[in-house]
Amino acid sequence: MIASLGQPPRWLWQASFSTGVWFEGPGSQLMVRAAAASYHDLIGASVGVAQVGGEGFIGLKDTDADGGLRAIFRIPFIGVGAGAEYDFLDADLNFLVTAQTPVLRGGILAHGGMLRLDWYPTESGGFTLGITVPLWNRFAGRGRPTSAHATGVSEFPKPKPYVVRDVPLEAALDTLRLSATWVRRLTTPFLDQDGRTLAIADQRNAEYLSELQAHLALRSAEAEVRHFHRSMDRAFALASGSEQAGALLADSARRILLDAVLLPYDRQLGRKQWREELADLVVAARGRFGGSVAGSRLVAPGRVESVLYVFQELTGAIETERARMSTEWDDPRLVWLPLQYALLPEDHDTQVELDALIEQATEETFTDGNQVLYAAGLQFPWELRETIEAARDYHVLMIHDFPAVTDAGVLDSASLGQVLVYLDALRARVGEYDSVGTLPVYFIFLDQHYYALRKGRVWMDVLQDPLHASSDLPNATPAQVAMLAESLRALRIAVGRSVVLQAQARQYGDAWLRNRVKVQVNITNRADQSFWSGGLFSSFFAYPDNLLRDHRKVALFDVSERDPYRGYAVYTGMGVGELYLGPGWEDRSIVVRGPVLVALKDEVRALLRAQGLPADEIPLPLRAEPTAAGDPVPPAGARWDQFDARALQLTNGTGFQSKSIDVAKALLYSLMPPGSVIKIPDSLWNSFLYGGLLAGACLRGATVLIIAPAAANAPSAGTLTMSRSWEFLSRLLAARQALAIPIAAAGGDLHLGLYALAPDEQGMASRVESWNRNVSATPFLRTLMPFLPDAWPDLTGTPQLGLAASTIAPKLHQKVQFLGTRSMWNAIAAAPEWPGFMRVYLEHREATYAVNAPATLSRELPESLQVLAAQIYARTRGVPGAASYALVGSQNQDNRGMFMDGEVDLLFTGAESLVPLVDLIFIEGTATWLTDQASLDRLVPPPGAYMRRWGRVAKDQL
Amino acid sequence: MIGKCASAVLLVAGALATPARAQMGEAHFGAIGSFGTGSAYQWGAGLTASYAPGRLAYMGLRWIYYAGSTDRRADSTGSWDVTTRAQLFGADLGLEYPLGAVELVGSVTMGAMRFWQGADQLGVSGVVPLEEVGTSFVLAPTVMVEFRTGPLVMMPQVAYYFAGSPDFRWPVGHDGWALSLMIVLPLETHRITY
Repeated sequence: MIASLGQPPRWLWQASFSTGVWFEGPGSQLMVRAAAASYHDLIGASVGVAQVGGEGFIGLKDTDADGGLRAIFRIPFIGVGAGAEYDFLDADLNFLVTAQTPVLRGGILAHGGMLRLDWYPTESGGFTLGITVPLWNRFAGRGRPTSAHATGVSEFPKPKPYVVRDVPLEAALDTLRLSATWVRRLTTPFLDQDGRTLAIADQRNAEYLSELQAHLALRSAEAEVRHFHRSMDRAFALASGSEQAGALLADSARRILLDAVLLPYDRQLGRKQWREELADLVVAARGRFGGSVAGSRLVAPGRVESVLYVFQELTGAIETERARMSTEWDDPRLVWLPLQYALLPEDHDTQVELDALIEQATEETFTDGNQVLYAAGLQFPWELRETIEAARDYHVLMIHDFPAVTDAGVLDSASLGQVLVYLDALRARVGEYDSVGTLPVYFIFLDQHYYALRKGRVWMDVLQDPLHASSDLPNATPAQVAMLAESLRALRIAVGRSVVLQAQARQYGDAWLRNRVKVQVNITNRADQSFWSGGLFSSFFAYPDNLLRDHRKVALFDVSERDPYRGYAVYTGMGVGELYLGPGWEDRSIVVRGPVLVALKDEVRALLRAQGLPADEIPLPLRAEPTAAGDPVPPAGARWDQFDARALQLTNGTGFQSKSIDVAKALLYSLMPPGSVIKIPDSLWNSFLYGGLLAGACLRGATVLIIAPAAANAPSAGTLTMSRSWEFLSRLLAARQALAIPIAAAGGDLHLGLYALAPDEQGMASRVESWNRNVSATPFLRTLMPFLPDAWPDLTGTPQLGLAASTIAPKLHQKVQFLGTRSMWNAIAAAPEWPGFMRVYLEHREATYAVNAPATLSRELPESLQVLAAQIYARTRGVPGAASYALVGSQNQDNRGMFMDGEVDLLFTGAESLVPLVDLIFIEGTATWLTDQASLDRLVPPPGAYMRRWGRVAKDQL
Repeated sequence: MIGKCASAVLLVAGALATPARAQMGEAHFGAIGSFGTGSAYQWGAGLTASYAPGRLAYMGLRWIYYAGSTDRRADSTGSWDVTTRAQLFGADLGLEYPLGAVELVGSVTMGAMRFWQGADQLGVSGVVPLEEVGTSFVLAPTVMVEFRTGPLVMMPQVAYYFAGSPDFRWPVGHDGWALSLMIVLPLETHRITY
C-alpha cells in the first residue's frame, strides 16, 4: 500500500482524563473523570477562531458514580472555550469555561497531548485539570519541528579572555571597530525607522540617511571595506611585530572568520535562535585561529598573546555589530553579518567565486547539465498537463491553490479541467497496465489553509477515490457533472477491463485497488494546536504554527537519482484555477530538466517526513535510489547539448526549518560586484532587509531596478499589505534621493517602478504600445540598455482568437529576478541578436496570452528563446568577471516568505539566465518609474496612521 | 536647588525618551491626579504604569488614593463626623486610535476599590473613633485623550466608576464620574516577542 497523508478529518476526536475538586455546600468533593469528545471547525481549521464540539464523560464525584454531556464552543487560536455541561448525578446544567495548552511543542505525554483546565465559575468554582489526547489522528503533534529555534544551548564554557595593554594596538583596533560599524551600516542600511508619528519616523530616516551621506562623502562603501581590511592587517602587524606576518595572519583570520563565524551565522537568516550571540561560533573560531597561529611559526612566542588578542577583538567587534543590528532591526532573524568582514571586493567578483560562496552559505551544490525553459502565462497549465500525461513512475504536484469554487460562486472550470487531466492519465495508464506492469503514483500536496479556504475537499474527494467518487459536484453545471461522470466511468471501465489489476485486486483486496488507482492526496501543515511559538507562557499569547504555510508551487515527475533526465519539473508562481489564466495574471514558470531536480525530489521526501510520515512509509518512487560515486550521469540527449545551465535548488522549509532562499538572496544582493545590474519585480515587496541590502548594493555601484505593483495591480491588495508596500517604497525613494550623490559616485543607480498597467484594450498590442511610449520617455532605460530598439518589434500578426478588450487590470505576480555583473552586461549589450530575441519573446507572450490560445504553439517558442539566449551568451565566454544569475520560484520579497512560509526557488546561471532578462526588460518598459513621493502616492495611496500601525505590527505575516 | 533638580529630572526624562528606532510600542510611567464626584472620592492622586503594544492597544495599572470627604451624620447614638476615603487598584485594558495630533484611548478599568470610613462622635468625650474598611469590585469605562508636551505625555480622561457598595454604617457615594489627568514619561519599546 502506498502511504499518504490524506485529508484532515472533518471531526477531531479526543480522549481526556482529568481530576479536580467540586465546591458546593459544606466541604468539597474530589472528581475523577474520563471523557471522549469530538470537535468540528466552523471556519477554516487553520484560522482557528470557531470550533464546536460535544463531549461525554464518566467518572466519580466523591464516592458517587458521575457522568454527563457537554456542548462546547472553542477558539482554538487562543486555546479557550466555554459551554454547558449537563451532569446526570446532579441533574443540573452547569456553565463551563475550558482552556488548554500543549505546554511543549508537539504536546505533552503523547503527540498532540494538551494540558486542559475546566472551570465551573457559576456553580461552585470547582475545576478539573487533566490531559487531552487526540484519537485517530496519527499526524497530530508530529507535523512540525519540535523546536522553533535553529540553535540550542552553548557547547563551550566561557573562555578566559586575552588582555593586552598596547596603546598603538588599541588605536588600530579602535579604527577596526569603527570601520566594522560602517561596513555593516553601508551593507545593510536600516530604512524601517518608526516613531510616534509618520513625520517622526520619516525624520529619523532622513537623519539616518544623512549620517550615511556624510560618511560616504569621506569614504565610499567599497573604500570602507578596504579600510576595514587594512585596519585588520595593521592590527595583526602591530601584534606580530611584522608587516609580512601581519598580512598572512590577517588572511588566515579572514578565512576562519568566513568559514567558522560569518557563514554559519548567516546560514540561519530568517530563523529564530535560542542563542543569538556569536559566542559558540567565536569560541570555535578562536580555537581554530589559535591552532593555526601556533602551527604557523609566523609569530614569536612572546607575541602570540597579542595576535590572539587581535583576533579576539576582531570577533568581538563583529559580535558588537551583530547585537547592534539585532536591536536596530528589532529582530535577530533579520541579522545578516556582512561577508565583507572576511572578503575583499576582488574575492567575490567572478562567477566561480560567487558560485562557491553561494554553495558554502546554503550548503547546497550547483549542478551542471541542466536545461531551463522559460514559460510565460498560460504555459504553466499546459506544461502541468504534459507532466501528468508523461509520468510513468510518479508525479508530484505541490501547489497552494486548487479551488473548487470561483469568487463568483460557480465551479472552477480550470480546476475541473485539471481533475479531468488526472483521471484521463489514470485511465490511460490503467489501460497500459497489463502490458507495462506498472502504474505511476500521483501525489498532490496542498496546504490545509488554502485547501480549506478554497474548498479543495470537493476535488480531493474525487481524486482520492475515483473508483467510488460521485460526480455530483456542488455549484456545477449539468455539463460539468456529465464531463466528470464520463471521465470517472471511463476510468472504472478501464480498471474493469484490466485483467492483471482484477487478478491482483482479487488477491490483495479492494482496498489495495483503491489505493493503487487514485491520486495520493496529501494535505499538509494541518491545523494543530499543539504547535505554537513566541508565547509569554506556554501557548498563551503565542502564535500557532497554523499561520505558517507552504507556498511552494512545483510539479515534478519521474526524476530519479540514477536518471535525472527521465522526467522534468515545472517551477511556477501560479496555482490551479481560473484566476491564473489569461492576461489578468502576470506570472511565469520554468520547465527544468537535469540533475538539479534530484534535490527537488529530496525536498518532496523531506516534506512527507516533516509532516509526520515515518521513513519506512515513504512511497517507493520518492525514496532515494542508491547511486555509487562513480556512476555516470546519463547524457542529457543531443537535443539539449548546447544548453548547460548551472543550477541550484533552493528551499525555504515551512515554518522554523532552514531558509536557503533567504541566504542565497542576501548573499547575492550583498556581494554582487560594482557595476552589477539587478532587476527584481515582485508582487509583495515589503522586506526591508532585502531592500536595505539592495540599497547597499547601489552604494557599491550596482544598478538596481525594483518593481512593485500599484494598488490596482496587486494580487494581494489588502490594506495592511499595501501599507507596508507604501512604507517600503517611500523609504527607498528617500534613500534614492538622499544618497543620489554617493550612489552616482560609485557608478550605481536605484530605480523604483510600479507595475501600473490599465486593462488591455487590444491584447498584447496594448502592452507593446505602453512599452514603446514609456521607454521613449524614460531616458535611464535607454542608457542602461543601449541595445533596445526605438520601438518593440511589430506584433507578429498572429490572430488572438476571440480576444476581447479586457476589463481587468493585470496583476503582477511573477517572482523572477536577474542579476548580472557589469562585464556580463557590457558583453551581451553588444549582441546583434537582441531584436530577434525580443521578437521571439513577444511571439511567445502572444501565444500564451489569451485563455483560448492553442496549446500546441507553446513549446517551440521557449526553445527558440533558448537558442537566441545561447547565441547572446556566447559573447560572454572568456570575458573576465562575467557572471549572471536568474532566480525563479515562489518566494516573494516579503517577511512572510522569509520567516514563515515554505518556498522553492531555482537559481541558475548560463545562457538560460538571459531568457528571464528579456522578459524583465519588457516589464520594465511598461512600468511607471517613480521620481518623487507624489508619483508613488498617486498609485499606492498612503495609509492612515491607524492602518500604518497595524501594518507594522503584522509585518511578519504580510 | 529646586531648579537644578527640575533640570536634572528633565534631562533624565529626555534621555530616557531617546527613541529606539524600530518602535513597536510605548511604555508609560507617571503620576495621575483625579477628582471623583462620589463622596468617597473627591480629590486624589496616584501612580500609573502602562504599555501600549503597537500603540494599538493599551494595558495599564493604576493606583489612586482619594482623600474623600467628611460629612456630619446623625443617628440615634448622636452626631458623627464621618470621613470616607478610597483607594483604587485598577488594571486598564483598552484600544488606542490616532486622531491627528492626539491619541484616543477607549478603555475599561477593572479592579478593587478599597474604602475606608472613620467616624468621630461629636460632643462625647472618651468615645473611641469608629473605623471600617471595605473592598469592592470596580469597573470603570474610560475615555482618554493622549497628547505630547515635550518629553512628557498628558492623558486627560473621564471615567465612570461602577463600584460595589462597601456596606458601611453610613452609606457612601461609591459610584460616579471621575476626571483624571495622567502625566507620564513615554518610552519607546521594541516588540516583546517575535
